[in-house]
Formats: sequence, C-alpha cells, structure tokens
Amino acid sequence: MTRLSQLLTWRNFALFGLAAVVMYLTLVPLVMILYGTFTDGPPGTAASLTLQNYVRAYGSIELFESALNSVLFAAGAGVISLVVGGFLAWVTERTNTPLKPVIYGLVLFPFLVPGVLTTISWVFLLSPNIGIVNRVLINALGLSEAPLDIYTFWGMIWTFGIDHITLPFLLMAAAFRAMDPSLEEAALVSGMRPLRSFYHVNLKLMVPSILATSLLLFIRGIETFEAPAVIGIPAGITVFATDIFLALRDTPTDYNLAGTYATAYLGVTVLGLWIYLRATRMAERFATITGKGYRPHMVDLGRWRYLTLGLAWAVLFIAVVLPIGIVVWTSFLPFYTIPSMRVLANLTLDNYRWIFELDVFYRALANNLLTGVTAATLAVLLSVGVAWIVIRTEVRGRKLLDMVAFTPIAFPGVVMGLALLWVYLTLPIPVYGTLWILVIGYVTKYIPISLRIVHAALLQVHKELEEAAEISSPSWLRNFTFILLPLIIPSLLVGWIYVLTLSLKVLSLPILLSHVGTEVLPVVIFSLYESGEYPQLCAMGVILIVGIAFIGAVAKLLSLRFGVHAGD
Amino acid sequence: MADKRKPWKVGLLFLLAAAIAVPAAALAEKPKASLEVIGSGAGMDEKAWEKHLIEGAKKEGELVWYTNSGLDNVEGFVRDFQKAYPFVKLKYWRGKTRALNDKLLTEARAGVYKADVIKSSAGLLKPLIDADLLAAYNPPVRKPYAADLKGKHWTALQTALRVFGYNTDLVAEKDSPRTWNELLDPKWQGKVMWDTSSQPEVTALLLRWGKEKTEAYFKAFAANKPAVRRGRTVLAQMAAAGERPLAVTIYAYKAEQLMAKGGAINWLAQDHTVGLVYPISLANYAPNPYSAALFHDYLLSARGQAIRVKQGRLVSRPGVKAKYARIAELADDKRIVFIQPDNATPLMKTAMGIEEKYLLKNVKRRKKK
Repeated sequence: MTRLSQLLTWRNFALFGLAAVVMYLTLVPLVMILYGTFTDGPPGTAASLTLQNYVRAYGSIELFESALNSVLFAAGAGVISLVVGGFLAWVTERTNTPLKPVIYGLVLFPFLVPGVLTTISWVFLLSPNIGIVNRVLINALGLSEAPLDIYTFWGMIWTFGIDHITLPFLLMAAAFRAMDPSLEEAALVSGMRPLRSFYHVNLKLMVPSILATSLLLFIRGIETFEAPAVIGIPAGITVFATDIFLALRDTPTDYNLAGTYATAYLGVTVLGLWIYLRATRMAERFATITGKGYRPHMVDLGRWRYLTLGLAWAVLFIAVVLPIGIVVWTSFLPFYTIPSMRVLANLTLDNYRWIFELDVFYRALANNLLTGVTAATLAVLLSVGVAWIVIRTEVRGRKLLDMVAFTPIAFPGVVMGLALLWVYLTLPIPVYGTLWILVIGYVTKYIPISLRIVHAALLQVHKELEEAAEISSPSWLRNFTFILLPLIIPSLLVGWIYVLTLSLKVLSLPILLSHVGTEVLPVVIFSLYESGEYPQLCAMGVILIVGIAFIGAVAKLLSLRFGVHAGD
Repeated sequence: MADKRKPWKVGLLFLLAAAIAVPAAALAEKPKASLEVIGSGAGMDEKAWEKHLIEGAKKEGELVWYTNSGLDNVEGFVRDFQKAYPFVKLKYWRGKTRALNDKLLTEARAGVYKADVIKSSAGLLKPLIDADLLAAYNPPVRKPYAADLKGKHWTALQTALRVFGYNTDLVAEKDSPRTWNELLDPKWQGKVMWDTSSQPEVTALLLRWGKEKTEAYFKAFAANKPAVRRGRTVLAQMAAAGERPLAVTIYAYKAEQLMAKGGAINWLAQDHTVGLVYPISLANYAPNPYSAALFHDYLLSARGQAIRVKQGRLVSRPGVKAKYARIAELADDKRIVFIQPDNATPLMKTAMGIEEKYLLKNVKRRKKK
C-alpha cells in the first residue's frame, strides 16, 4: 500500500501522462506504416499480406549506388553545416568579437526561407552560363570559361550544407553558453595549450549537442529532395530520394511502396540514435551546469578579434548574403534578371502587392502561426517530459520510449499524412477539417527534432541542482518549472523556433491534413512555385524573413526578460 | 527512485485502442448520387436549367471546390462567382493533383464526401473515375464544346499550350526550331532545356508517332545532351536569362507574360504542340449537388470562360477569344495535340517510362562517354 501511494505522485502522474501522449502520437503512424509495408493496398481496402513491396523497393542494384550517393551527400553537407555553424557559434558565444548581434541575426535567415528558393539562388550564382559569381570571377581574373559549376556533386553538397548552418549554430551556441569555465581554467592551469584544451574540454563536453545536430542533419540530408532535384538531376546524380520520387510519381500515391522506402530511413534513424544514446549514456560526464557558477567567460582575442570578425563576415556573406540577396533582388523584379544598373529601372513592388491582395494569404498566415506556435509549444513540452524520463529515471523501457518517439523523423510527409488522414477520418475524434489535426500532425512529425535538442540540453544540467532544490522545497512540479526549465531555456527556444519555422516551410504533411479554410502558408508558397510565379515566391520568402525576424526579436526580448543572456 | 512501472504498457494500450478503432471505419452512409438529386437537365435549355439549380442552391447555401489550380486563378473565380451568385458561399481546397487524388480517394474509402466540384489534370483523372467519384454530368452548357474536349465524366475548362521557347538575344526567330526533329540537329547539342516533369510532351508524340518512333526519337534527343532542369517555375526565366538558348517545355502564356514585361524570350508552336486539357467534373456524391452543378456550369459558361481568358489561357468554349492574339490563332490549329483524360491515361505509364529512361535517370552514364 505504501509502495502504491509512493508511486501515485503528481510527478509520476504527469510524466506517465506525457509519455502516454507521446507513445500514442508516434506509435499510431509507426504501426500503421509498418503494417502497410506488408500489404498491397492503402488503409481501408481489402488488402492482402505480401512481401512484394520490399522486392519492388529494394530489389534493384542501382538503388545501392543511389544510397551510397545519399550517404556521401548527407555526410559531406553535414560537415559543412557543422563546421560553419560551429565556428559562428563559437565566435558569437565565447569571444569578444565585435558586432555579434548582426552575426546572430544573419545566421537565422536561411532558417526562414524555403529551401527550394535558396537552392535556385545557388543556380543563379554558380551556373556556368548565367551564374553571377562565375561572371565576376571571369571578368576579374580574365578567365576563358566559368571556374565553378553548380551542376556537380560538390555543388549539391555545398548548396545543401551551406543552407543548413542555422541548426548547428543555434544548438552549439546553446551548448557553448552552458560551458563551465572552471574546466577550461583547469586545463589552462595544468599547462594545456589552448587548442588542445578546446579539443579535450569544449569539444568533448559538447558531444551530445554535436552528435544530436549531426544526427538531425544527416537524416535531413538523406531525405531532402530539393538539391537532388534542382542540381542533382541536371548533373546526372541520382540519390535515394530521387529514386523514391521517380518510383512514386504515379497517382494515387503508392502508400505501401512509399512506406517501404521509408523503412530505409527508419533503419538509419534507429542506428543513428543508438550511437547517440551509447555515446551519451554517462549523463554526468556532460553536465556543465552544476551547483557552482557556470557562466562562461569570454575569450579575449585582443587584436585577433578583427580577424574572427572578418572571417565571420566573409562566411556570412557567402552563406547568407549571396543566396538570400538573390531572393531579395528577384522579389523586386517582374522576372529574374542578372543584376545590373540597367535593370534597376524595372524594380517593382508588384510581387508584394500581389501577395498582400491574396485573401488566402492572411488566412494561411493566421492558421500557420496558430497551429505552428501551439505545435511547437506542445512538442517542446512533451520532449522535456520524455527527455527527463530517459535521463533522470531508471524506468525500464525508457530507451525504447526515446526510440519510438524519434521514429516519426523517418517518415516522409506524404506517408505520414496519409496514415494520419486515415486515422482521423475513421476514429470518432472530430478533428478532421479543424486546425487540431494539423497540430497533431506537426507535433508528431517534429517531436523527434525537439526531443534531440532538449535531450542534449538536459544532459548538461547536473542532477545535483534538482536534488538540492528537492531538499529545500518538496514540490517536484515547482522545482521542475522554476529551477530546471529556466536552466535549459535557450535550448527550448531553439527547439521551439525550429519547429515553428518548419511548419512555415514544409508542405507534404499539412497539404493532406488541411481542409477548406485551414490552409497553412506552405500551401500558398507551393502554389506559387507550381504555377511559376518565381518572383512572387521570392517576395513571400522576404515577407517570411521580415515577419519571423520580428517574432525572433520578441523572443529574444522575452528571453532577456527571463534572465537568459547571450553571454556578453 | 522506485519507478519500476513500464511506460510501454501504457503505450501498448493506446496502440491497441487505435488498432481496434481503425478497421472499424466509420461506415457513414453514402450521400445520394448528385444526379439522382438534381436530375440530368436533359431537354432543358441553359437558362431553365440554371433556374432549376439556383432554386436548389439557395437551400444549400455553400459548396466546396477541390482544385489543383494556382491560388490567384482560384481566387479570381471565387470573386466573380460570388458576384454572380451571392447566395452560395464558394469554398475551396487547393493542392497539387497528386495530393488532390490522395485526399479524395482516402476520404471516399473512409466514407467521407466533402467535395462538390473537382478539377484534376488530364493524365491523373482515371483513378477518380475508377473509384466512382465523378458524375456523368452532361448539362446544356456543355453543348457547344467540341467532342474531343469533353468526356463522360469531364469537360475541358481550358487548354494550356506548351511550346518551344527561345532566348531572343541568343537565337534569331528564323533560326529557331519549329519541329521536334530539328532539335536533333548537332547545332543544338547541349542547348535545349527540358523540364523534369514533361510526360505530356512524350504523350503527344506517342499519340502522333506511336511507341517505336517516339522511343527512337527520345533516344536520339537524349544523345544530343539536353539540359534537364527541375521546376518549370524557373525554366522560362532561366531561358530569358540565357542559361540555354532553347526551352522546349514552356507554357505559351508564360512566355507571353514574360515578353510583355520585357523578357528576352519568344516562342513558336512546334509541329506537334502540346495542348494540355484541364478537366472539370461534378462530384458523384456531392454534399451540395445543386450548388455544385451551378458552379460547374458557371465555369463552362461564357462568363466563367472569360475569367480564364483574362488569366491568359486558351479556353475551349467556342466564341470566347484568348487574350494573347498568337495563342488565339492556334485555337483550331492542327498542330495541337490535345492531351485529355481519355487519350492520355492509357499512355501515361509508357510516357513516364520513356521520360525516366532517357532524360531523368540515364544522364550520368551518357555523360561519361
């Protein structure tokens, strides 16, 4: 009896509740999709069991060549994102390089612009025939032909890698911010050289963040179809995503085959997560936020700080200003034209006017913010619960909980969309046709992302803080809310903003779940893309940047209000 | 910590509940077939039939249009239709054809019928016909439409021409190719852009030439190293910017729009010009059948077609003239191969196969040679 009453605490109630919700959200599509891979018809048909989907999906040798390309592509691009994002994070968080807020602001831009736009921008920059960078280089160096060619494997890797610096930047910035300076001092006092100490102290302490970022980037890399389509197909490079696209071009979508292809992603996901969990299983190793003061100090770079500033600006010019400059430039034109003084006379605001006159734009924006914000908040909250169970408790099955909650990342939007559509059309829960089904879809699809971010952050907090709090106040919920959450708020914000921005950019899931009057912004964006209104699409991208920059500024102010400092 | 309870048990319970609930598909009763409710309109003239529909529509008050049209086009129709029939609220859901088909078919399997009027595309209409989702609706307004621009379950809302575009700075009009065969000339090697989803072009040639000749053609075409690009969105703009001198899969009205704004591009109708037919259909189980038929007929009326013309398209209703003179001239041109549901569907797979084999997948191996 006492044992039972010990178990029936608010804490357990809340945690099991959260875990149950997460299990429900993620297991339903997982089981449905996996079951679908063994049948020969979509849900709701009299389908029979078969292994034919696996034969069709994995029965060709060519596929392995594509898969290898996918791995090389995702790994190469991931390295670029990590190195560039990590460097910028270090500069803004740990050095006294000037003008840090500008750097911070610029890094966020690629987050906000739909990937298809930045990919096309890189074509306009690096195409051998019309690429601006090539023209400039030819003129400046007196070359006879274009030195750079976007239509290569490297072009693909570059475009995708440089477009994804924001996530590693934000995650590593959060980790740098939570670095314990006494460890670095200990290293320096014991005579370690700065670079060695950076490796042995900083890098090793940041293993959870770096691994989590790498995992998310890698999975994103093998799933993406933007760079492989716009650059890969012209260059004759086929990746796994291209094969899937070609195999599934017919209509209606072959739900079973699509799900079967997704099992490859599922395999990679589970394997990646297993590596991550093994590498981070000694939680205390990575705890830098302890009972002692942990605010990191700045590295005084002296005159070198102008070098880091110059480098940071150079990187940002290439990674952000160039591609997004093309988007901004085109948004003021009737059609894309290579920048020149002559074209300046053609500048117009028509593209913006056109978007602001579209009734659906306002409805979609409002719907998007409402569902995106709700979903982001729920995803982060649920992730905190799951991460806490996984890291802080000894409950059996907690690793499995983490695994299952991470699986939705493996499923392409269309497969997940069809599964959820079917579930909520048939279950007597009246969410179809409302915004709730979108919230459910977003939370399910993006919980893996917020979970990894929160998990890595929680590893940095030593449990002695919670134990100390428990002694002074027995209310677990209060300690959780007022001690633990504020300590990891920077990471929570990263997860929150990431989920929100994804909801603004990703189409395949919401298109199936949305209905009359519940459109979200990507519906507008992709309508523009399909009907060929490229300059208007660019205007939309700029509106997104300006709009979210505003939200970002508000979030920043709020975080300052809650005592989270950027460390300057 | 005495936590030894297993969270996965809770999850399993939920899963079980879901698994039981899912097969028990809500077996809602199918609505009555649209034509059973509204009648067929046989023997009535346009005016009398419209009056009959208006009476019914006033009681329904709204309708839902599932469409794959661009949002600006959709909203153009919405505004005008609301002006003409303010007592019916026109709502819409917009998605690309594949999403549209996926959504409609999944809804139907679950016994949910939400769509009143459906606009899909020519090659992708068959799954909807097979699933019994489109009504065999033949209202008086359809009478003037040519026989190859209507089928049992659809009528052509409009046609879009896909033509050969050329960059006017790089190619003179007299040198620009006018036939598919001219593209095989070595002087165009590496100079022709092709969009990655251009099965209709292949279909058009299949219709005119048959499989053997078409396949041989694309083999030769591929050997001339076309530049394959994804995104018709930017293809025309890239051509205007000089990425390659020719773009052979672009919309005539897009080229006209670019020309009007001063883009360095022009177009020519080739010997077998693709005329993509956009089919409009009445849902077989429309929740608001009177309003549905009213809107369907409006789209095909002179008034609805006039809106389409404003948007630059070639419409199918005789007597309504296209906005751009050169497109209007082509209305009855024998060079146009109309790609519509009845002729495109049987060739769909072959066309996709040929495009994939010669243009989308084989580029690399060809390059190495």
